Amino acid sequence: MEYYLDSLSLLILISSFVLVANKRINSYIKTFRLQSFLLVILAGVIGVEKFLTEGALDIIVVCVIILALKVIYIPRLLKNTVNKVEYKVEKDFFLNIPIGVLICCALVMLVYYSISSVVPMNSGHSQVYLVNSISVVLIGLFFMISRKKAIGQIIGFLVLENGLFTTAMLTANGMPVIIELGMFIDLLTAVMIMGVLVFKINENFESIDINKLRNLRG
Amino acid sequence: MMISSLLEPALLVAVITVGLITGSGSVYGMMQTAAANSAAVFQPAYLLTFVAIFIILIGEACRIPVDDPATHLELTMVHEAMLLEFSGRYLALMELGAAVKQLIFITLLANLYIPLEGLFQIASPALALAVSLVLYLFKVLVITVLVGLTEVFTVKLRLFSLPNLGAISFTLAFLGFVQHFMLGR
Repeated sequence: MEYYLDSLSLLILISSFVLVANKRINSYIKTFRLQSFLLVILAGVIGVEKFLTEGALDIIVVCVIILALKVIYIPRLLKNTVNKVEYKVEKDFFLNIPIGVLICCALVMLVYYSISSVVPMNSGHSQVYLVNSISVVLIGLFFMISRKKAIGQIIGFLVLENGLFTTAMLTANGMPVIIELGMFIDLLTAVMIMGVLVFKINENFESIDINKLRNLRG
Repeated sequence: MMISSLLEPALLVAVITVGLITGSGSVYGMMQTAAANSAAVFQPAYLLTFVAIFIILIGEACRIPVDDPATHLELTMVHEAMLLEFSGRYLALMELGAAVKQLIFITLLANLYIPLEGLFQIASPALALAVSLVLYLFKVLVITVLVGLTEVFTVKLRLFSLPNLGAISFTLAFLGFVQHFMLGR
């Protein structure tokens, strides 16, 4: 059982590496959808386990909400935004991709180092979980600062949130449902507002390249 | 050749990691340990090195995300360009060489990561040989189907995007190494 959870947390980590190596907005969205789907599987496994042992349905409810929100609704919303903004494929990153991937590798090393100073290594499975999921948070942050287009930054934010959710899920078997619901509603509003902002940026600057957001306009 | 040299470090790190986990330097020893404890292949380091070696397989075998083996355009040729000046039995030899290389990588993946031999306990040697031959063919089929699916769902990358694949492959293999090194499993 633990090996499967190990592997699932690792697959989530691998999918965030794949995200960093992606070049196009559409493949960002696809990879984000894949990662959310892995998250759904993770929540489903933990939820079924909790249901069988304690008879509590809460994680299964959270799992269904993620499926509806992160796998179906948000990717569709982002895709619509991209289609309406419609810009050509151009260079979207500050660092080239191999360097980005290697920096992410270094981030994972950093997480290993810092986690091992808090809790000793090889004392159970939670270290693996902790390292993998905190790495996802850091990689999401790195993704946000390494992309030029506003959509890439939204995706980075969402991946960061995925990492937080994975951390909570794997180390503490999920937060109370009310907190999860609050987080999801926050996320939904954030993504909608960001989508609208992308429209406005595109309207004012004829591009969603954040490099052009240097001048103030009155 | 250029692609192989890009993927070389990842291959080294991945195979060394598997060697460290199983505590053996020979491929046969690695296989035996994996077959004795089938559940072990679900551990994280195995998973990471599997993905790494799979990317290497695609690169070395000149499959679609890296190189299109069926191309007739000289501009897009990587592997085929080496064969342009051969014909007849020399061409057949070159093709055979490429096929053998591909089979070697597929066998490496199949035997290290799909240990099914532990499921069967057969006393008679002839029957055991027959069963393991069938199992081997089945495992090769599984890996080739995976390669085929990758070919279907991806497009050929530009030559200058190939270092990205090399970087991902190396990073995954290295993470597997670190995971094994830090956690001891």
